Formats: sequence, C-alpha cells, structure tokens
Amino acid sequence: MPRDILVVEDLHKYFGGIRAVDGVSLRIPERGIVGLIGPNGSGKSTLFNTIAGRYKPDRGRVIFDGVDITGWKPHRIYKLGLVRTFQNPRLWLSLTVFENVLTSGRDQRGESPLRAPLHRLWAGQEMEYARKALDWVRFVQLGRVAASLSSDISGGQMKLTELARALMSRAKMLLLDEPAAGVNPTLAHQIFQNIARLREEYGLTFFIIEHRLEILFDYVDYVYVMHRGRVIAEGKPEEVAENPVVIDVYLGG
Amino acid sequence: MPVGGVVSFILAYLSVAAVYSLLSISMNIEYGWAGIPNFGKAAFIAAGGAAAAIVAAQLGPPLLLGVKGVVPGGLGFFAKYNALLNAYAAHPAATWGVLVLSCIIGGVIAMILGVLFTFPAVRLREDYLAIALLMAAQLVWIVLRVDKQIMGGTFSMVLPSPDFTPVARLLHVPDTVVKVLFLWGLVAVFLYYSEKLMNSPFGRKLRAVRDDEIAAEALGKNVPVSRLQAMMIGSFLAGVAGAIYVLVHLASVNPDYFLPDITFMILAMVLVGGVGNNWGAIAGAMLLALMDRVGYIIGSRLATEYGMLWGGYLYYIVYGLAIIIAIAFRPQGLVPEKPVKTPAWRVYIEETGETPRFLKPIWARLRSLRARRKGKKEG
Amino acid sequence: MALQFWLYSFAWGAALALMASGLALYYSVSKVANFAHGEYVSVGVIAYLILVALLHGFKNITGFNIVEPARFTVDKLPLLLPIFIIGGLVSAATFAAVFWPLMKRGSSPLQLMVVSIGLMFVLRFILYFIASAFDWLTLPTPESSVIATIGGVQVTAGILGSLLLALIATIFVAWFTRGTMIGVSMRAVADNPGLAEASGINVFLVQLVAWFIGGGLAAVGGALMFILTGPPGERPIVELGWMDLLPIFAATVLGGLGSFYGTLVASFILGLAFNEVSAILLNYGLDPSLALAVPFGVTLAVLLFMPEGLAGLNWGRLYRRLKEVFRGAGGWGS
Repeated sequence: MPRDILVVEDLHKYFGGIRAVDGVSLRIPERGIVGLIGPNGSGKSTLFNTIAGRYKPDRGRVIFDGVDITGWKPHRIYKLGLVRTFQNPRLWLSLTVFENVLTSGRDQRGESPLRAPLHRLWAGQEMEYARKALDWVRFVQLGRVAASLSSDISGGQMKLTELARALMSRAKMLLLDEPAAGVNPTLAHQIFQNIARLREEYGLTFFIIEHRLEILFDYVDYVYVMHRGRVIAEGKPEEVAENPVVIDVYLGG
Repeated sequence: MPVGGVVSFILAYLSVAAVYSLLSISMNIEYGWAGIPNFGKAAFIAAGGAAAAIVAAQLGPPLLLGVKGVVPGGLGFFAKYNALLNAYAAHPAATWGVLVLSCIIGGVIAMILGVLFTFPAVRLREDYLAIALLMAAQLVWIVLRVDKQIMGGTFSMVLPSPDFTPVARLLHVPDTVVKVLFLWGLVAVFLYYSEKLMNSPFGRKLRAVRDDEIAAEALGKNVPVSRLQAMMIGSFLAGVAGAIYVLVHLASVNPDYFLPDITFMILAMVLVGGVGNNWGAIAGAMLLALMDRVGYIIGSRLATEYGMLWGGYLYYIVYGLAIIIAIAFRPQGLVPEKPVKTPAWRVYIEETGETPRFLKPIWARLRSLRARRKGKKEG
Repeated sequence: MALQFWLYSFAWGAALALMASGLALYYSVSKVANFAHGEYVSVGVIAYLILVALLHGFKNITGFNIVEPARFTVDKLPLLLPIFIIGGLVSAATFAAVFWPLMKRGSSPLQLMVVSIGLMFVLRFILYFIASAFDWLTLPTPESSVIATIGGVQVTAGILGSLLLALIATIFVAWFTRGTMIGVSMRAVADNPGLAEASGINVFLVQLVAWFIGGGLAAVGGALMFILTGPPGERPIVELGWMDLLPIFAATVLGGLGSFYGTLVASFILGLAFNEVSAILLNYGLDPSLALAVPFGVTLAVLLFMPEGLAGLNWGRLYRRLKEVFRGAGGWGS
C-alpha cells in the first residue's frame, strides 16, 4: 500500500454566503492517477485553487508530502513539488512557447537580479534547462510552434504548453484542471496515455479534473465526485459509474 | 536664428535628452518589464537631488576639501556656501568627488525609499500601488520644501557641477560638448547594464509576473519579491540619474524640480518609445525632449511677448496627447519589445537547426521579407 | 472657537465627500482609477468663476476684479446646478471619447490608468488656457457671506453649501440607485458586468450616467472647496483639483475603492483628521502642508491592514463581537 502524498482534511472555502468548498476530505496515494468529477459549479476548481494556495481555506487542513501546507503561498507550494495547471490556460503571452516552459524551471540562478547581468554565472544552467525544456515541448508535441509567441497558438496547444510547463518544474504531483479540454478525442487519449507514461517513468502523481468521463475513466485508478461543494461519492471508476447518486447528479444537474 | 543659437540649442537638447534617457531606462525596468505603475518616480529622482545637495554643502567639504560643511537654511548660509563653491572651483577633482558620492548616496537612498513605498501595496492591484507611490512622491516633495536643512527649502541652491574644462582643453572643444559626451556615455552604461540585466532569467521572470501574476505564482515565482526587486533596481538608477540631473545638467537644485510632472513625462517617453524595450525608451526620450524644447521656446515667446500666460504650460498638452495617442494607437510603442535573449536560444538553434525569425540579424530579416514579397508577386 | 473649527472641518469633509464619492461612483462600475478626476474638480472652480462672470455680463471681471463678484452668498447656491452639469458633461465626454473605446478594445486596467494621466494633462492645459485668458491664475480666497451666528459660531454660505450639498448628494444617490431603472442597473453592473450585459443591460449607458454624476459631484465639490479654502497654497487655482487628488484617493481607498457610502464616511473622518493635524502643526510653528502625511498615512495603513477599506469591514460581525465582549464583561461583573 503506497503512502498518501496529498491529504485534505475537512476543507472549507466560502465566498460571502456561497459555500464553494464545504468540508472536503480526500487522500491521494503516491503514484496514483485520481480523477475529480462533478457538474459545473460543484466546486472542483475552487478545491484546486484552495489546495494550491491561491485561496486561503476558511477551515480544514492540506498536507502534502508530510508537510502541512494549509494557507501557504502558491510559490512555496510549488517548491515542495505540487504544481497545477489552469482551467483557462494562463500563459505568459509575451513569451514564446519554449520560454513559457523554460521559465518554470526551478531554482534558476539567473533569476537573482545580482547574478542576472553576469551571464557567465548562469549560462551553463540555462543551457541545460533549455535542453530539458525543449524535450518537454517535444514531449507534448509542440516542437513545431516552440518559437511562436504563446499568444499565437490555439487553445488546445495552450493547454499542452501548460502541461509541459508543469512538467518542467520537476514536480512530484500535478493538479491538472481539464487537461484535455478543447482537443479532439484522439489527442485527448494521447494526453492521457502520456500521463500514464509519466507515472511509470517518473513516478509522478496526478489529480485530474475532467469533464469527458468516457476518456478519464479509462486511465484513472480512483475517482472523487463533487456536488455543491461536497464529495458525494468516491471509488474505482467502474463503481462510481454505476453509483445511483452520481447518475442522479449528472442527469439532474 | 544665428548659427551659434542653433548649436547651443542642439547641445542643450542633447544634454536634456540624455538625462531623460537615463530616467526612462530606469522607468522602463519598472513599467515596461515588471508592469509596475511607478507614479512616484519623482521621489526617487529627488533622492538623488537631495543627496547632491547634502554632499555639496555638508558631506563634501570635510571629505573632499578638508573644511567644515554648512547646513542649509541657517542664517548666513549663502555667504558661507558661496565660499565653499569658490573652494570647489579651485579643486576640479573635488567636483568629481561630489558627483560620485552623490550618485552612490542618492542611489542607495532611492533604493531604500523604493522598498518602503512599494511594500504596503506590493501585494495589491496596480491601482493601489500607483496611488500609494504618487502620494509618497507628493509627501517627499513637501518634506523637501519644508525641511530647509536638506536643500535650502524653496530657494534654488547652486551646485558644484563636475569640471569638464581640463578634458575640454585637451580636446580643443567647448565644455558643453564634453558634458554632452559624458552624459551620453552614461546613457550607454545604463543601456548596457539594463540590456544585460533583462536578457536573463531575471528579465523573463519579470515578464512572467507582468503578463500573468497568478500563473507566475503557481510556477514558483515570488511575485511581491520580484516586484520589489524591479523597484529597487529602477529606483537605484533613478537616484543615480537624479544626482546626475541636478549636478551635471542643471548645476542647481530646488524641490520644485521634483514635481510629479516629471514622473509622467518620463512615463510618456517610455510609452511613446517602446514599452519593455530599452532602445525604445531612449528613442521616446529623444523624441519627446525635442518636442518639449520646441514647445518651451514657442511657449515662452507666447508668454513673454504676447502676454499669453498659457504658453508656459504647453508641455502639458505635448505630454498629455503623447500618452493618449500612444495608448490608443500604438500601445507597444515605436520600438516594440523583443523576446528575451539568453543562451537558451543557442541551444534551440543547435537542436532544431533553425533560427527563429526574431533572432536573425535585421538585414537577413529584410531579405526574407523581400523574397516573400517577390514570391507573392510571381505567384 | 473649537466649535467653529469643527464646523469648518466638517464642511471641508463634506466638500471632500462630494469629490471622492463621485470617483467611487464610477469606479464601482468601470473599475478605472482615474487620475483625471482632480481636473473635474478644477473644472468646477473655473465653471463657478465663469458663471459669476456671466452674471456680470463679462464686464470688468478679469484678474482680481472677479474676487468681489465671486463672493459666495446663499442666492448663488443655484449656480451649483449648472456647475454639476458642466462637470458631468466633461466627465461623461472623457469617458465616451477615451475610456470606453479603450475598454471595448480590451485595454488593461494599467493602460486605462496611464491614459487617465494623459487626459489629466490635456484637461489641465485647457483649464490653464481659460484661466490665463481671464487672468485668473492666482486669486485670493473669495469671501463667503455669514448667514447666521449661533453661540459665537459663524455659519457661512460656503459651509452651509457644502453640508447641504453633501446631504442632497447622499439622498440623490440613495434614491437613484434604488428607485430608478438605470440606478438599479448600475448596481448590477458593479456586481457583475458580464452577467449584467448578458441580461440585456446597456452597459455603456449605465457607465456614462455614472461618469456624468461622478464628474458633476466632483465639480460641485471643487467649487465649494474653492470657496472654503481658496487657491491651493501658492499654486494656481486650476491646480486645486490636483492638490486635492490625494485626499480624494485616500478617502476612496479608506472607503473601500468603489463604495459610495464608505467613501462618504471616510471623507468626514479624513476632513476632521486633516484639519486637526494642520492646526496642530501650525500651533507648533511647523508647516501645515505637512498635514498631507495624514491621507498618506491613512492610505498606507489601509493598504497594509485592511485593503478592503471601511466597506470591507464586516460590521455585523464587529457588532456581534463587541456585544459578546460587553456581555462577557457583564457576566464577570454579576
């Protein structure tokens, strides 16, 4: 039994009177691929935002890799190895695709304003990172547009750039918010095959929000179902698919 | 206008354009690269001005001339200070000492103020930051006016500007020519430094923070610290430029040189020239300084000869329209920003075997453009 | 004497409230930190002088000659209506001609803020042009007639005007945002512009009206502030708005950027604090212009400790907390 890399205990996040996340508890095992599903507005993205530090939770705890990260700032959470992507791609639009991926490399020596003017001090690391970044760009099959400005690529390509950017950061665990939105089914399957491959090769853990259940269920080991800010069901994909509560939520809206 | 008039106009113009270039390079680091609306630039320029005044009257005499300094504002200050100025005139090297000390002290004070004024609002939306910085600058201006011990209150205080005569004699040219060359040399230094600084992972980080701070934070960039770093560098350069402005260009100092007007003039130069492009910042400074000079000549003639007092305020319409037109019609400026050039692109070219268009030298780009046009015509 | 001072400070706060709540009103719907707001204030000053000149048929009104006719009396109160309209038209015109086209094109808040600086310069030049044509750049404080003396406290027309207008503006805005179609739409746009647009509200018109009222209030506040305090220090009268811009921003930030009522309360607090500190400084032989440290300090404190401003305070929770504290104290007592 692998240990749990992410533990969320009784997490609450309110916006005024709206209980966006209302007492969520879950456990993600190391090297797991876990899905998070639920109708629109059920609080999935808010849960991600709260885990990844963009929102401070009103109550509850988040433990990642044995460290209590409740209320931490996102950049510190990133340092521990928990990295997320966004539902609507958030790329740095004045940078190229290649640079978007490169920029997320961790501990870049040239990011210090004192070292930055002295190129000698960081050029070696920069070139090493550049090779790695180019590998990740090719991994998500964006080699052709690597030198294009990220504002000039399609929505699907933006999602893939986000994935490459998260991979570049050498994370232990990725929170992916709809990684296959806006891409055709063949490519969507490819993305999930790659996710499975990444788990095998690098031992990464994935927690994935996805609306296209028919694709998601082929790849995940475990699924959590959210509705109105709460987890209403969980289990193996085939169990969840037959759970009457889940069917009711999805058909009833 | 006689030839002598034209020459002195050009020299005066080149001198002020150089100072504005220094300032707009520093503004470009904040506004262009990091997206910080530094509406308090005047305060950081003032730090350089204050440092120059303090060094000239209080620190410089014991350190450079070996005599006692005088504190401005007291009785008989001007008589004692004039004696000091005469002593400086007899020691050209001491005037250079004043410049160096003022630049260092001014830069450091400006850097400290930059952190202090930015810190409260660095985590908040940009409008809060702009308001806080503008207020800080107003307060600094009032303090400089009220506290007569810094630069003598609202009187203009003459400063010992660095002595160019020895070099000028050597080259057989007038002092002002050497002064202009010196100022443009400094512009080259500023430009070299900021190009080196920005074509680095640091520059990329600032752009990431500017483009999308939420993504930058999620991918490990400390957004408030990045902003503070940009403010520290920009303010330091502004402090240095402020000392140069009052010592070399004006040779006098007065709190009213540091009204917020100057902040917005510099901002207009960055906007017109190129947001995020150092060369553009210089181009903008040169263009607007020219319009400013011409407007000044026309305006003062209107005011003095025809009694039209509004002539003295022509610069408002020059800079105001420049800002509006730039934002409305060419938000990227005359010279748009370029991708960050680091050794990473060398790796890219090695591995893919192709050079991205923006990295090719300008003549190669022109040739490919022409070839494409020709191809279109034939096809 | 103390009472007189309080009354003056209160009137000062009322004039500030008019100017600052104007900014809050259109900020709530357009989210533009408009640095040209101070110029709408100065428009009010110049409009007041021009209207006075108009009443005198533009005869003998250049330079200091305007000071005597510009004496503020109760029968000049109706002049504030055309001032409101002029300020409103200037503000609405700048919105329609500059801000709206840029907003529609998707300019960032940063760019809108910067363009407002350009606008500020252009408007200021126009004001300088007009003021220097009439030779009004430097004027002394116009007199304000004393209406009543209650227990040694003189109530001048300027003080009455400020307090009255602040009251009228509050009632007007309360009625407008609740009782009229366009006012209710305004609140909808402030809450969620996307949703408001989707539900068929004419977002442009709503914002235009907000800018009209906002600019109008600024101009009225400017005219009254000129009558109360005269020109801003040694600066030309057209810089009155610019000099008051920082207290205006301080009031709007303290009020919770974009909250009308929060800004009203904040203005009165700032008015008292600012004038009190000026008086203290003067007492100690210091320069009263250092009182600018008050709005600056307030703004920094708000930004550091409660960026939502007064409007963001949870008054209900505060009240309950206080009640608990007091009940707890009572419990110990018994």
